[in-house]
Amino acid sequence: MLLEFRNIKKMYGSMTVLEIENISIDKGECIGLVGNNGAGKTTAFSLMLDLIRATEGQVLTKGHDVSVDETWKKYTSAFIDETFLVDFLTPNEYFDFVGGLNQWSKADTDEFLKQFEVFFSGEIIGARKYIRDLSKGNQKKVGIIASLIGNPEIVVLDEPFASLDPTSQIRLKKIITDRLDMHTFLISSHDLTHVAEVSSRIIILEKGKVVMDNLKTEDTVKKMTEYFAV
Amino acid sequence: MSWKSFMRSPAFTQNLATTIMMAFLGLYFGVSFIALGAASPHAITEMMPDVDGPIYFGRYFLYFTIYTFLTRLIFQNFGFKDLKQYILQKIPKSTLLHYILTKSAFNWINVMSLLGVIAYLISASFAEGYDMNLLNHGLALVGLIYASNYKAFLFDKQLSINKVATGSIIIVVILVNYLDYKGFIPLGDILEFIYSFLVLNIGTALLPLLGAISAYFLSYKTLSQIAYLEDTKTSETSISDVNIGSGLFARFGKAGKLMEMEVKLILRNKRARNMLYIVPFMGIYPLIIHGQGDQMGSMGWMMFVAIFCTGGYALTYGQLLLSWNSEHFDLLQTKMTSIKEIFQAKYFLQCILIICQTLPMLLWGFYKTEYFYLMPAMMFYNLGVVLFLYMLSASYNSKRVDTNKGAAMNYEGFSLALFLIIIPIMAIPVLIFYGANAFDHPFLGVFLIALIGLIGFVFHDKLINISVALFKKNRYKIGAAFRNK
Repeated sequence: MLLEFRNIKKMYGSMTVLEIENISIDKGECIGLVGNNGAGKTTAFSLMLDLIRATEGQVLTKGHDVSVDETWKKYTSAFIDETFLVDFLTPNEYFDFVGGLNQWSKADTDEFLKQFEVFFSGEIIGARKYIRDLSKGNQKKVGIIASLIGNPEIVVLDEPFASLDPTSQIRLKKIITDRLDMHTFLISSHDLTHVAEVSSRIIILEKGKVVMDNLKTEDTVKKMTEYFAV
Repeated sequence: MSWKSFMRSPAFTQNLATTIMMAFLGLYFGVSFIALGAASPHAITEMMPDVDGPIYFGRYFLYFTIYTFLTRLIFQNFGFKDLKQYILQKIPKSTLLHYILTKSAFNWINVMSLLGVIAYLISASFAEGYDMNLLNHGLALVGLIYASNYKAFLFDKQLSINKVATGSIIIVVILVNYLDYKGFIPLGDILEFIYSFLVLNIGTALLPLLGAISAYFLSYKTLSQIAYLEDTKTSETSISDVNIGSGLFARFGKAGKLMEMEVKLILRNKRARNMLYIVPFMGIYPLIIHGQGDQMGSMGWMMFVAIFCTGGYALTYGQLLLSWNSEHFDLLQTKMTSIKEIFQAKYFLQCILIICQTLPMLLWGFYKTEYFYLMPAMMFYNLGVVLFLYMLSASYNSKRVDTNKGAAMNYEGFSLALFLIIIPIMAIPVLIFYGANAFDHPFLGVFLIALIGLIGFVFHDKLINISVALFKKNRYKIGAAFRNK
C-alpha cells in the first residue's frame, strides 16, 4: 500500500468539509478525483501534503503518518496552485532549483526537460521572463513539469487541465499516460472526459464524502455524466 | 474595500496590534513635528537674536524639503495597486488618476510637514519680535511641501521614466550637501536667498504652489498616457538566467539551492532590494553618533552602533524570515526534504551577510580604536543570539508579505511578535554591559556578550533544532496565514 486515507476528517469550526473512511491507493494507480466545487478535492490533497491539519484520522504513505514523519517528501511531488511556483525566477532557474532540491545537476534537469519541448511550445525554456510574467497557462505548464522532476513515486496535480489550451490538454494527457509506469498519479479535475481518459480509477467526492470509487470501465464517462447531470 | 480586507483577515488581531503601534508612532511623530514647528520662532529669536528669524527658518525648511524630496524619490510608491483593482471597474480613468494623485497629498511626509508648518505659523503670529507676512510665508511653505510631493511623482521608479535622472539627482544632492558640509559651497546662503525671494510678495510666494499644480498636471498627463494594465507590471526589461555564486552555495547542498534562490529573492523583489539601499546608511552610524558630542561616545552607545553596523541587513531581512517566502511557502514545505533545511539555509545566508557586512566596518577602528573589538564582538552577538531570536519569533510571525511593494512605511508582515522580540535583543546587551560596568569592568561586559554569541554560534545546530520544533507546532497556522492574500 502506497497511500492510505484512514478515517480522515477535516472540520472548519462546526462545518465538516471532508470525511473519508478509507481510501487505499496502490503503486501504479492513476487516481482521478472528481467533484463539484467545494467537494473537498483540494482539501484532500492538502491533507496529504501536510499543509493543513487533519481534525481526525491520518494520511499514511508507505505506512507512515505524513504529519509525523517527513520522509514522504522524498518521493512525493505536487502542483496545487501558484504557491508551488517561485514567481521571481525564470522558468529555467525554477526547474534548476527544483532539480537541485532533488539532487539533480543542472545537466540532469536540462536533459530531462528536453522531452517536454513540444508541450512547452517554445515559450518556456529559455524564456527571458520571470514566472510572474508568464501567462496563466504557461505558469501551469511550468508547475506541472516541475512536479515530475526527480521522478517522484507520487505525483499530485490539482486541476492540471484547467487554463490550458486544447492542444496542450491533449499533450498533457499523453505525458501522463506515457509516465504511468513511473509515477502514481492523483489528479483532480472538473473535466470528466480528460480525467476518465488518463485515470485507472475514479473517485467522486461530494460535499466531503466519497460517493463513488470505481475502477475505470468502458462506460465510466457515461456514469459520471449521469451522476453530475442534476 | 481596504477596510474590509483588513477586518476580514484571519491575522486581524495581529493587524490590530500593528495598527495600534503605527497609530502611536504617528502620534509621536505628529506631536514632535508640532512641537518643533511651535517652538521654532521662540527658539530662533532666543538663540540667534541677530538673524532674520523667518528667513533663517526658511533656510532650514528648504534643507528639510531637499531631504524629504530625496526620501520621496527613493521610497514614494505610486498607488498602482489601487489602479489594478479599479481599472476594470466602471470608473473613468481620469477619476482614478486624480484619486491616486490626490491621495498622495495625505501621505505621511506631507501630513507631518503640514502639522509642523501650521504649528509654526500659529506660534509665529504670537511671537514677539518675529515679524513676517504670515500669508506669504504660509503660502510658500505649504507650496514647497506639495511642489516636492508632485515633482517626486514625475520620477516614480515604477513608471521607469528617467531612472538615470533619478539616480543622478540623488548623487548630485548628496555631493552638494557634502561640499556644503565641508564648506566649499555656501548652500545654506543660497537656500536663504531663494527663500527670501519667495516671500518677497504674494506673487513670488505663489510660485511653489504654482510649481506644485503644474507638476500635478504634468504627472497626470504622463500617467494617463501610460496607465494601462501592462504598465503596472514590475518586470525588468533585461532578464537572463543567473547562477549567483553557485560554487559557494553548492557546498551547502540543498540548503545551498535555497540560499541561491533567496539571493535572487533579495535582488529581484522591490521590498527586499530597498532594504539593500538602506544598509550602507547604517554603516555611517558611527559618524552620526560621534558627531553628537561626547556623551554619545560612551562604550554603551558604541556597542549599539556596532550591533547595527554588523547586522544591519540580516536584522532587517531576518525580521521577516519566513514571510519573505510566503508566496511560495507550500512549495518549500513539500519539496524541502525537511523543514530544518529551510532554517539552515536562512541561517547560513544571514551569517554570510553579517560577516560580509562586518569586514568593512572594522575600518571604523581607525576612527575610534574601540571599534576594532566592538565590531567583531557584536558580530558574534548577532550570529549567535539575534539570529536565533528572530528564528524563534518567525514561528509567531505568520503574515503574508507582498515582496514587490516598497519597503518604506511598509509594515506588511509585521506583527506583535516582532515588536516584542526587539526587547530581548536590546535588553540582553544592556543588562550584561551595565551590570559589568557597575563593577568598573566594561570590557568584561563586551567580552561576555561576545562569548554568549560565540556559544550560540558554535551550537547553531542545536538552536536551529529548537526553532524547527517550534515551527512544526505552528506550521498549519503559518501556512494558512501565508496563503491568505
